[in-house]
Amino acid sequence: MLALDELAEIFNFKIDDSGNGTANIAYGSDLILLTSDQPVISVAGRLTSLRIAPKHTDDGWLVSLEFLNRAVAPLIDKRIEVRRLSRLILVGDVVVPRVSGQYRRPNDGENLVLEVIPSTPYTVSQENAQLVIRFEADALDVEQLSDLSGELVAGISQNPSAASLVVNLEPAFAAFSVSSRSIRNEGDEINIAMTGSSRIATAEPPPRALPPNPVSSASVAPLPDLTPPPTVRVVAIDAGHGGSDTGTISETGTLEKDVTLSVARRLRDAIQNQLGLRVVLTRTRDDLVPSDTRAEVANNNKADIFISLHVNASIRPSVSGAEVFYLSMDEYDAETRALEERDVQLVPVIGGGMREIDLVEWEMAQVTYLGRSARLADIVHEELSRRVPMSSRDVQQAPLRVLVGANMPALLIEMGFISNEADEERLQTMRFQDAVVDALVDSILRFRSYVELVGYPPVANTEDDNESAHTQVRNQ
Amino acid sequence: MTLLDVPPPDPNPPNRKVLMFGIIGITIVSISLFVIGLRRGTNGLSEIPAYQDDAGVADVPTGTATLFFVAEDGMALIEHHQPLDGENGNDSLGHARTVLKHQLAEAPSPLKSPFPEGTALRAIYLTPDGDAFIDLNREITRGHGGGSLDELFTVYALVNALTTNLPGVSAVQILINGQEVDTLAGHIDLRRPLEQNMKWVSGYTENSESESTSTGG
Repeated sequence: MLALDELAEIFNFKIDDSGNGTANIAYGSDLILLTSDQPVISVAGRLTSLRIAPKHTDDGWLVSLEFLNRAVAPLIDKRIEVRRLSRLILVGDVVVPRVSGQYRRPNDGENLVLEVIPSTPYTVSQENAQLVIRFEADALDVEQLSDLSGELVAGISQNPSAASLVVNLEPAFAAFSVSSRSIRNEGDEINIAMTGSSRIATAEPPPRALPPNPVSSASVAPLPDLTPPPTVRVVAIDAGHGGSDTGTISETGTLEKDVTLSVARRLRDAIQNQLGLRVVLTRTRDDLVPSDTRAEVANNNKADIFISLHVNASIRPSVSGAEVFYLSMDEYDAETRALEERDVQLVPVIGGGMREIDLVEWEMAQVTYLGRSARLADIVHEELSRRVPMSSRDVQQAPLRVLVGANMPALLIEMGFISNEADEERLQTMRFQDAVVDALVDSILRFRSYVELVGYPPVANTEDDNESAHTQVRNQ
Repeated sequence: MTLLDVPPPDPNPPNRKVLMFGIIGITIVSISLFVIGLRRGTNGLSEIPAYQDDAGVADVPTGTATLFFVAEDGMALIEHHQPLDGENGNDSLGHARTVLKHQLAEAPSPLKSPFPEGTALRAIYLTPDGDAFIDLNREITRGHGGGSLDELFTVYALVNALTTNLPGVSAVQILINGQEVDTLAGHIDLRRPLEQNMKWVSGYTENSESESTSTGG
């Protein structure tokens, strides 16, 4: 909660506290009318509903963070952006790009990779034993840079008096080159490749052992099957909620959308760095993304796994622990369930012959993957159970909106209950978020092994894959 | 009540065949429009009220209504049997309204209501094929705390209350201010009617729906 007195100083408001639990806040000729413990307020004559009601205490008025966007922004007619994770409140058209970094060590040198969102002009120059990266911005919103170092770099710091980063170089540093690429039209990935004066021995951890690529046991087909062997190449990570959809909110103002985005970014970095897989995020910043768009991002990128990250809430504060869900079709009415009995069409293929193809409505794509989603959910539940407190429920099934259009195995994870004091505190710690990330990285590895061993079975309801649906494409 | 009020035959029709084809044509078009309107829903509900009285929901139960509230441990819904004291309507619509009135009211202690304060019923529509459309005011989304678990409880308290108490209702779709919605708080798919599901109710398992528990009432 924020002290209204402090906001009044910052935004030049005048507070008229009536003393009977109501207050008028004047800004020019406009007024905000508040009543203690009432979520509905009046902003310049318009009624606005808040999730958390303003509160009058002995020390003055307290308002939630959403008050900034719902009440203050319309009044001062300026954009207000709240970045809870970095504890920043941006007012007006200031340029404060988010900067996060990774340190990679290919065989021929070391790379510093910076993700800058949104795109911001920059320069990189060497000044004695430092590389200085200057951004044309008012300030930087920097995360995850403090622990980046290697044989060529001693450390990275932010210059607090300017929007720049300083890379302290080791004596072994010899030269650098810079390249950049656009990230989904949202920002830039800046790659600073550095080489040493002598070949540097890298201490890359050994790759995780993977099972050998199995020989498919599928039935012999008369036509060459051009389908790539089943595995996991692309992972779609969905940070739940975003933008004006804050998700659930704790009593202290922690927003679900911030927690999910933080874990999504960490998970992306871990999967890329540890597994070398391609990762797509359905959102990379605080944006409102419709459910269908989330599935589309995964489908259009041909993701092999879809993981939707969420935080739970209960009207009973004692309820706690993580839960894992996958889609259930049981609750839909008979007409919708009938979609599972979908069309099968024969299409001609190159070289002669016909191929049988199942047709599924785009928005109901998940019906094909329920068996594999169940397996993925079991694995994730098991891995999470080893690392984080779980709810007493086993894996759950529900008609979840965001999963129904995903054309790949998909699940939704509720990482904990924001309504529970211990869970809420835990959800914001790096230790807990890393534990969730570790569980999911190991789950993806195990699921990849499973898919590579079992493949896509040619018939439904096998013991290994109890899908109610059929294979996507099968040879005749 | 019939779908169309067909006028009595003209004793001296100018062309009886043409008139018959006309009536059949209008009937087919009208039925098609109704079906399309019902399935699309977002076109507005203006077509639907005409069918309220035609909902073939018989056997309106009397005595008590089975309602669903959040259990003390917050992990499930729990049944509560609410005496109706003769206030249930004498038709299926009246009974549905009575059931929902009690379902949306304050929960008996120590249970809790799964609905945000201020949630109110705007209208209810029953169709002859067993679908119920519950139109609620915006408070159910505006005041909802979010999270999959509580959203499941909110949705299935409504779905189970109607499907349990009205034998002719097999599926329920929730509307907000007369419009179809994706979800209440970002999780549960509300674009289609949902059938009863007792797995969120304490004492039920997927294979044993008879082991219900009740707080009485």
